[in-house]
Amino acid sequence: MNVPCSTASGPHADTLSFVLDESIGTARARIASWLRDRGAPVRRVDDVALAGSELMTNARWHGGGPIEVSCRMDDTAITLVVTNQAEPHQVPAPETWAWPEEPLARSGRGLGIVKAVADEAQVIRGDHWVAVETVFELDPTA
Amino acid sequence: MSPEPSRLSIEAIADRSLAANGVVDAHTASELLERLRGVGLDGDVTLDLSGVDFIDSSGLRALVTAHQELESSDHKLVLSGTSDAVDRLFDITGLREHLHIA
Repeated sequence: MNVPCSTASGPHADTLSFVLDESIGTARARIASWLRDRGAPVRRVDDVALAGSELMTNARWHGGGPIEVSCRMDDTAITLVVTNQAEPHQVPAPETWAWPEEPLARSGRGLGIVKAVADEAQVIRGDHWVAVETVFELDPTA
Repeated sequence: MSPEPSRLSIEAIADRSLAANGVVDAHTASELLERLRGVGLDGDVTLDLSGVDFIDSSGLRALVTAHQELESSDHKLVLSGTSDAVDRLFDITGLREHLHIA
């Protein structure tokens, strides 16, 4: 398996991993439920659900092959990784994720939304896979 | 308890006025757009989004498409209510200032 490992770490790390063989809505709800059960703040759960929806939609419609989803939570951050196996699609580098030039463009906002709600994002490419990793920091004082 | 799948309900609440409740994502956005188109282009259309608890860029695409189609007929898509989820996405994307929000 070529899924990249999360960089998040800590004494209370826990990971949810699954192959996306269900509706994106069901997967989104599964991630949100898993995070809520672990005490993640509501706003961060919403952020991960929104970014996850965009990334899973992109992976399903623009990529191919099995799609793996991994969500890791520890004391400091939530890390969400969406990986296309076998048929990687062309995901642009996060530095180029931006809003459409035309404010009322009908499409092209997905990755901009991900960039807006995540604290970090990176695209990791292998010979036969591509993964988008997003990190959502947790405020230890919250 | 198993997670709930994507679910959207759309009801006609008055003449040329719809209310959407639930989720507007890649699975349901086309249904919303078709319901808006079904109202017709011969007048303004009002849409209440206050019951939408999740929306992503697929949902925005439906709203922007309906907005543009009505504008091209000299009419408006008026958003009569918004939820926290809708407000947040409008703020993130800057769409708030480009749509008609009552």
